Amino acid sequence: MIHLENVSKSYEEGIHAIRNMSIHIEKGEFVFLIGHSGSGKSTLFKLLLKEIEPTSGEIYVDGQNIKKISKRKIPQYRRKIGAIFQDFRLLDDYNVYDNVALAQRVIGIRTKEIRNSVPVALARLGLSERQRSYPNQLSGGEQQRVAIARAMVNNPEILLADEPTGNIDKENAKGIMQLLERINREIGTTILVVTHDRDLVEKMGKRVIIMKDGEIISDRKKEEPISET
Amino acid sequence: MKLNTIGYCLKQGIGNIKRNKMFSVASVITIIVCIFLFGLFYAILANLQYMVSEAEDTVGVTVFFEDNMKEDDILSLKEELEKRNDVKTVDYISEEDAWSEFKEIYFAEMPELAEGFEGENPLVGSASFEIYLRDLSKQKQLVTELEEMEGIRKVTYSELAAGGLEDMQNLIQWLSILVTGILFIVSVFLISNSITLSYTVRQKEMHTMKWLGATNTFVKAPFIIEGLLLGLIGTVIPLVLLYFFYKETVVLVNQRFSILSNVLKFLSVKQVFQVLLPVSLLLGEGIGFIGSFFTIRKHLKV
Repeated sequence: MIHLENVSKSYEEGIHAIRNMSIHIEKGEFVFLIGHSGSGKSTLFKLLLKEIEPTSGEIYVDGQNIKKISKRKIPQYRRKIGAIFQDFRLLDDYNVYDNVALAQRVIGIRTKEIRNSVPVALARLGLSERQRSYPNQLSGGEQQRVAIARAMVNNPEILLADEPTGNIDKENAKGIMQLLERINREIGTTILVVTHDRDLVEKMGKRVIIMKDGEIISDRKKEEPISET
Repeated sequence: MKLNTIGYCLKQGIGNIKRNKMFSVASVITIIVCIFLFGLFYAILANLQYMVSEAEDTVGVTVFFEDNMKEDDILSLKEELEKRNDVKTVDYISEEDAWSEFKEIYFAEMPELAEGFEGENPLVGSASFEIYLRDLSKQKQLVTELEEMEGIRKVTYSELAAGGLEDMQNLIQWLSILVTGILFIVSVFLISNSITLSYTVRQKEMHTMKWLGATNTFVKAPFIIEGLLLGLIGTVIPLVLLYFFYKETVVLVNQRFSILSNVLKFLSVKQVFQVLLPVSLLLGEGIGFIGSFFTIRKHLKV
């Protein structure tokens, strides 16, 4: 589903965010990407969302070389990917319903269909009661669940999660991770989670890729013990 | 773009206007002033042009001949003049025509006075041409040429009618281009400011929409709609004002200066609006489109 081949990204200031990175992620796989800040995790996300271009190397998503996607086709490409972030990125003056509905509006889905699908998406995440609330009236955990509902409402093939539990207390963080795991298991969405919370990762028993200074230093398949070189 | 999406973008555009009321009002006022002045200038110019063209039908050059000029020569001169591009018509008024016209005008109520001239024409030697021009500005040249011709005794014409109107028309034309041009630029600038403000307020939303997979058109549309709506409001208001203002002014001038009703001939409000309406709409929407399209394109280049 996601295939990186010797990808490097350096910025104009001479910073090498990613060096010669190769990863292969299967369809339906659940992968953790661990690393400290500055390890190149965010750059990887931006590359996958095609917000920036790699300096060298190729990126394939769903068999397609994304370098070859024309500017006009970028919106269509992005619709394959759902994304959630540490700061939730919800719109403060939109209520919960409208935040989720926006994801459908921007891709031209009819209002009638939106009225059906958004409540279903919210119910799946236990947010039915919160439809009319505004983000600042919700807890961190609830806000992240709204963000997940928004990311998932269009049934993307891939879900990218950038530090999804970074702003949430431990108890809620566990809930969010379980939710992602359930989405992966029930819907089959390919999920890539970037985090620095090793404890949380340990309990999940999924594939873990460790990055340091823009390079992969460990790629541990499912259920193997973590080893860092 | 789907109907559903157009509806959504329209709603967002209206929302933008409501959100920055002050800037929206400022933009609309400038467009109103721009369109109102443009309309005013246009109405004046169109009427001047109309009056000049009317004058061209009534203001002519009259040519009198030397006594020794034979009628055959006069007629061949007539043919020659009629071939010219700047001449519309040449009417030949013979001595007899002149006398009978004179009688009709001055002795109409006292025909007994004319009877004293029975059998003789006191206007012998006053055969003339009345020449009407296609373009009054060419009058002076024609007069000079006529005066140099042999067999011509006198040329009379109205200098004021020819020169004055044309000069005024030119002056107003340039003035209107200048004023409308400046106001056009100011309006575009203000719309652009309005759009920038809308964009700044909604920047996060736009960015979110983009990574949710919104097309550029979808993201830009509400801002362009905002510009077009401001342009439309700024056009409709002055047009309605101008419509009534023009109608009332024509009535008032005709009442006050009824003596000049021969010279002051006005176009009807319908005739003026036939051109003014589409041109103003184009101008107003042009301001709205240019002001919004280029501004939002600049902001969304990322």
